[in-house]
Amino acid sequence: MSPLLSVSGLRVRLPTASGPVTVVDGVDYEVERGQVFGIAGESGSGKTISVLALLGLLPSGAEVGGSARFDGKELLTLDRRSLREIRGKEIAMVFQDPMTSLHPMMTIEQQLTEHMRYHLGLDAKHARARAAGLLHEVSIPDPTGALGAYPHQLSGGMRQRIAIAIALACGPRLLIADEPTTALDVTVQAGILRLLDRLRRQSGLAVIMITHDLGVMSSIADWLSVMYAGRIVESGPTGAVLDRPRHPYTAGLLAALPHPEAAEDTPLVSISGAPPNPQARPAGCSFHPRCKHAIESCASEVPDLLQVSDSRRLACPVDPLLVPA
Amino acid sequence: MSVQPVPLRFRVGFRRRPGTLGSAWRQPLAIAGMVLAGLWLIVVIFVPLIAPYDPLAQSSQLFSEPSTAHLFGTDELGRDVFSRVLWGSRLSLPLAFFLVVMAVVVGAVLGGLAGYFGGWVDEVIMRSTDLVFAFPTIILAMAVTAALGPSLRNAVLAVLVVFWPSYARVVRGLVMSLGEADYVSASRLLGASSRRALLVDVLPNVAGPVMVLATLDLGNAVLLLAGLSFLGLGAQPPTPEWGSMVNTGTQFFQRWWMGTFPGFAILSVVLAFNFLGDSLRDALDPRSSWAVQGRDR
Amino acid sequence: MSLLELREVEVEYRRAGRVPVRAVAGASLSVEAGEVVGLVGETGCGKSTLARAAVGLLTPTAGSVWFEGRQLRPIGRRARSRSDARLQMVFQNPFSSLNPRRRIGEQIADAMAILRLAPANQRRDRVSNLLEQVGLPRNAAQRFPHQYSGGQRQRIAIARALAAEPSVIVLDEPLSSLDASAQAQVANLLKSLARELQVGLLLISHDLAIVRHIADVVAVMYLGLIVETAPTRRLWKAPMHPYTEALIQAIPRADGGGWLPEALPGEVPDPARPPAGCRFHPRCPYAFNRCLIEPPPLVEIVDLRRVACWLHEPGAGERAPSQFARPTRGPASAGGDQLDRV
Repeated sequence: MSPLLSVSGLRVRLPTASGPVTVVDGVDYEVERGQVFGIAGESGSGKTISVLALLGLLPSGAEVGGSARFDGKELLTLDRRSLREIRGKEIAMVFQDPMTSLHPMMTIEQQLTEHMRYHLGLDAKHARARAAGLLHEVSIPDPTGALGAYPHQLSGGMRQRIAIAIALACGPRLLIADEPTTALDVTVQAGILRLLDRLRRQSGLAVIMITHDLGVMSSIADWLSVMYAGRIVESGPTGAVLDRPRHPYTAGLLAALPHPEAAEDTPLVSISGAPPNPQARPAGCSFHPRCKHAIESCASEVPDLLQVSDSRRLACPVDPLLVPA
Repeated sequence: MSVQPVPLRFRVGFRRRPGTLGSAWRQPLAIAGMVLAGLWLIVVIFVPLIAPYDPLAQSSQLFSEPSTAHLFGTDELGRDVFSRVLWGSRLSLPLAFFLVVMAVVVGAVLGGLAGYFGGWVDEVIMRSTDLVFAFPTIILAMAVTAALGPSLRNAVLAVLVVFWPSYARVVRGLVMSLGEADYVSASRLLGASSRRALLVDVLPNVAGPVMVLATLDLGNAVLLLAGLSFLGLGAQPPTPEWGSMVNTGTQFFQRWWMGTFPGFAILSVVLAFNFLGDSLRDALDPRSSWAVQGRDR
Repeated sequence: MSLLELREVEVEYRRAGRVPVRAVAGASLSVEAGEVVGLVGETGCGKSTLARAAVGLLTPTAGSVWFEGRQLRPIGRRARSRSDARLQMVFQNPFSSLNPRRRIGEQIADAMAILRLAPANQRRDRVSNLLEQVGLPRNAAQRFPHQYSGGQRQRIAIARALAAEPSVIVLDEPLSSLDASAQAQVANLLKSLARELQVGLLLISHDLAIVRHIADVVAVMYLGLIVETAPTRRLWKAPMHPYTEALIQAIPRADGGGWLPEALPGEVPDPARPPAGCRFHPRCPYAFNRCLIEPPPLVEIVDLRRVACWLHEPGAGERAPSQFARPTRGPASAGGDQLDRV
């Protein structure tokens, strides 16, 4: 069966004071139905901009190139009206901070039913009933009470659950979650991750999960793509990539994590330097100034994302077997 | 599978692009403001050399229309309107400047004290500002001038009375919020006295917003003074003050040049200061190039 | 004698017409020279309030703070004494903890000027040395804060604190606003500073995983109280308080195993209306009758380990609740995700 979402050669340039800057530099991936597809990366990697491009949510003046086919429809050339039909109904999004993604002046009920009535044509009574049902689905303890509440009256975890309920209200087939748990406490995060996992198993929902936290990726993502400086540098099944990373950046990211199993006294191994500003990306492979394994050609040639085995893709010319696991 | 280069397509948008403006000072309005203000500054300084006639000198050519001899015509006593307008700037502009500086000083001191000490000091000062704010500006100014007796000096006093509370409010708010700022706490932890924290950490960050307000108020000061004079409560004849000149102009409506030119003078000065104030506010706004500065994207 | 000691510190906030909130309800801990103490807790536990009280920015409503053997005088009208200034703080937000209008060299040199630690002609060199010590270029002194990233600004804040030649530094979530790379770098820096300079560090964080790498001793806080303290390695091996156990189980592992972390049922209660008895009992899988009535004191169970929980008797072994206690309600992960009625 063809993939639900097929992205090819996606490029995004944004205007800045010093001229247009390429933020996303040629990204390819495919998301299957019912799959949790993870995009991992730090600041400046372009991970958020790349998904905003899919939904037509880029700031004006942005230039987009490439292709993104969702269920056969080319999203990047769609007119505004059709995009609006798709947004919320077929593809939905959840953001990092529920305090700013929820409207502070509208009750939860209003926020839940607003687009339901638009997309599904429900009347007020039915919309309300469905809203209460959704809140129950996301395990809000007192759905009727919550309907009448305002966002500031609820905790961070509850607000994020409501944001998920809003996203799922019209039964989308793809949910994009951008750092959905980063702002939450770890115990609350665990609850949200379990919720997302349960929801997708129950309904066959596909999820694009964007986060810099590899631990979160490991728990929930089936497939992992690592982004650096606007390009995908490595991708494959999550377990395989995290167990045996082949790109030096992925390996570096893993090593910088505090491992619960490692001895406490070992210092955290950090990758020297910092991710490059999109306006000042190095020539050749963007990672080469920070890479321990860089060879001469890395400074001038941009490595292509190549298939290195059945399910792995890698953008690095250095012999993968030399990169320590 | 390698990535094929794909042509970029343009996405249409009408929103003004932030960050592509460059400096706030290069905007047309900012430049206009600076040019106008600059011209008036030259006039104020060099008016004895520029003005063709003595502003108080009467002549026999009453009510003459604008001509090459009298650019703006003459008034009911044969005085040259052009010279009177130019000399009027020596009155309005320095006075406005003086007024705003005094209002800032008085307001900032009182507001700073209110914000710093709180308690009854804060109450007394804030209720005083409430009192002033309870009345429309011009009414209160009129009342004060009328009570003290119509003269330019009393009009200046009246404007001072109605202007200082805005600064007191702004400074009080800033002192109170900045007092909580982490870098102020850090200074105190390093052993800085409250006075040092106030001078070094709080005040410089207060100066910016106050300056914006003050620049905008320059225009308001000119307007209010002119207004009071227009009503006969400020400058008294034969002083060539713009407001009183406009007043005279309304009495001699057919001789349009008597009121129109002083009116334009007021307009251009107020506009200049408004443009400057707006540009100053934009220039001080920390919003620089947005988007791609290493945020979580 | 500990360098910094908090004895039953309480901080209460009064709000007009409402019940006062005890953000900190009686916390005790100590920091020795060269020791890194990690204070861990989630949102609403009161750790930031405790940090400010520990350093003197807030006055405790009850209890006391002792620094270098003397009771600490909170910041008031008068300038802080030179000896008290040896207790420094690094704040959470690197963007608001530096004055945007002053060059960073000046801000770092503040301590030297105010406390008269170095004559004017020596300050420039000292500032450069400090910058080098925190891993920044020596010429950074001429620049302004906005020219630096979050991680770099935190280093500048650390340099500023070091300029006061402190014996103890309290750090309030210094790593939360940072990138993964910057986090690792600053974490390593803090650890080496503690070792080399024998400075005591009280590190406040919500991230137990990172604290594990830096701290020698960990204190866990819940709803205004410290519920457990232990040396780091032993805490991880056998967390004794059910909340600590839940925290550790909630951390996702990046091992590719696809294992979902355990969630904790319920929500953090309103600090103005804490539960009766043990504050954690509504969410505790092992709660029994005594827990609902009597709040357990923080007592030493075995050497160096203190726990506030009725499951443990002094002198009994060092065991995690899951190893010996019977859950009195359904296991935390029954069925799916949580937020069950509690």
